[in-house]
Amino acid sequence: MRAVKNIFKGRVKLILGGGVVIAIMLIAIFADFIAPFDPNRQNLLVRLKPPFWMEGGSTRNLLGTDNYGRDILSRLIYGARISLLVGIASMLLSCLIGTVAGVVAGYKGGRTEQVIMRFADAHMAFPDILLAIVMVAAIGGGALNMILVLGVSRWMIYARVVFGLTRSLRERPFIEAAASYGAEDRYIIFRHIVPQMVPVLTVLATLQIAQMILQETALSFLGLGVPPPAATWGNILAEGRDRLFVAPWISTAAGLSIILLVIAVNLLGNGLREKFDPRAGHGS
Amino acid sequence: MLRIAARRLALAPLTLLLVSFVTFVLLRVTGDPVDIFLDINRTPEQVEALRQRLHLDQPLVVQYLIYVRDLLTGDFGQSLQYGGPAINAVIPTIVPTLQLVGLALLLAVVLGVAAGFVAAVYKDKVPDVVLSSLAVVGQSMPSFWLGILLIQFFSLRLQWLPTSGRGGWENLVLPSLTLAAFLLPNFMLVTRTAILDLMSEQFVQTARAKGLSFTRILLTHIFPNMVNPLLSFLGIQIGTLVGGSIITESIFGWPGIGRLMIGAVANRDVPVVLVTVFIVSVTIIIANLLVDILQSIVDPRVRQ
Repeated sequence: MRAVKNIFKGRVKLILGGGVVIAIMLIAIFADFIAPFDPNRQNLLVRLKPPFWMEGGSTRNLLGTDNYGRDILSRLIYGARISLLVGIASMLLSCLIGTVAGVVAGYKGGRTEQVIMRFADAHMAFPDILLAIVMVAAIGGGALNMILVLGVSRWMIYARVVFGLTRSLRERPFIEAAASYGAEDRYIIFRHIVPQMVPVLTVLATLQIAQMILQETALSFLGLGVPPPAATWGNILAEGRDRLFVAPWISTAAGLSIILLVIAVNLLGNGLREKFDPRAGHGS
Repeated sequence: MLRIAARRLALAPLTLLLVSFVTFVLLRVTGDPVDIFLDINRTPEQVEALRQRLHLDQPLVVQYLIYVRDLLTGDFGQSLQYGGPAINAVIPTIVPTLQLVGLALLLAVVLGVAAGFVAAVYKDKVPDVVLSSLAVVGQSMPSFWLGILLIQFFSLRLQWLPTSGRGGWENLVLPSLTLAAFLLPNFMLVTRTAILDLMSEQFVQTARAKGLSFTRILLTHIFPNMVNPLLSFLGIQIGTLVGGSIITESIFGWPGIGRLMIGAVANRDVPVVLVTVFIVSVTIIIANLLVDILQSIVDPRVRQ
């Protein structure tokens, strides 16, 4: 991280990362107008066409076509929609669960803290893919289930950070003062504790979106995510693997899209961290 | 040390109980178990047999207790794909997975520590900037795509290594590299930070002031003290390693437990899903236990 920071100072990171993220978001939102083709329309006459700069490609399908003659550019554009939707929604869900658990554990202390934080420790050791496998076996795949799986599987990351913050905040004079004036717990939590956490949570949540997107593509790739023929980046990558010998451009296009979005989100998150915390550099 | 091991050991059954509870809720309570366990082509006899086996006529609490008893005795039910007890399908997959995970871990530790060491020694110079940038890209890259790129280059273009399957050592090269890539960037960055932190410690400064050679300081002061941060990081990363192994096995058709698991989900073979999830969970718990014990052996401070 530090080396890259030397190349990109905080502001540049924010602008570059944020710019790319916003651009991809706009593309995802206006996919209906931008995508040149219907992502699911098959056209067997033009199947497995390479991108336009390769021999045999044409400007009709800029990034080529897949095994069913579907336009890869259009599929990538619609795939951005699912990746961002799942990434952001599951981040919100896990942030909500984790913050509630962390604040309660940190504020109440004692046995409540023991139960919640040991539960978080136990969950921490488990790969989310395991939970996803059981959930998909029970209730099937799909975008909504993906959000549930990813949302539930990352709550403890927020819980640990929020717990630490709440515990240190609880000892601060302004909280004690509020309590001695007779403020209710709920008032103190929402009025004094939660607002203090917004910067830290923003950074953590942004960086987590990147992890969620990577995880969603991995699950889709394994056939545990949104089922085909839906255009998700993981699905496109999985299709590309099966046609690696004849059409390597399919998996390359999907892989590069994923990297671009994830690097942009990571840059944005690190930029935000430096903005909120001038000391920067310490892990989250 | 014994106290720590005992405390951890006490936590292990609790974790397993949690796993059993979550799987029970997901597989029994979220929908009709008959729909979850059997496909559309089920016969009334199959449904009746399942009702008998799962004791669906009993209250949920009793069902759960029977479920836990079955798990403890290793009775996961009959596999739908393979016939016979589900646990028999898992046994031949354990060795291939251990081979893959073991080699990948070795690669990740050796390469990660070496790269982190170079980056720390040449801090803020060219090698550090290059390696650290690579690590950041590595963290943003889906490692399963790296696997595909490796197949593309070494198997299809150069035709040096096979694309998939299990056989001689050449089948292990690409899968273990891919799996190692899940951990490599993080291992490198942790090593780099650990070394840099240690370099500013007083005992290292003293050793320098005494005029000890750099190699000597490294071998006697830095490396021994690096083991502990690396071990605790390894503990956190066991989950990543297991998850990565499931993905890697699927890419390369490696006949391990991860591929079995994914195949079982695709074929709706719930007993096999259950047994694989349990075996993996137990392995993770044991691995964490081992890391804790190792840590307290290596670092006396942990024992207090």
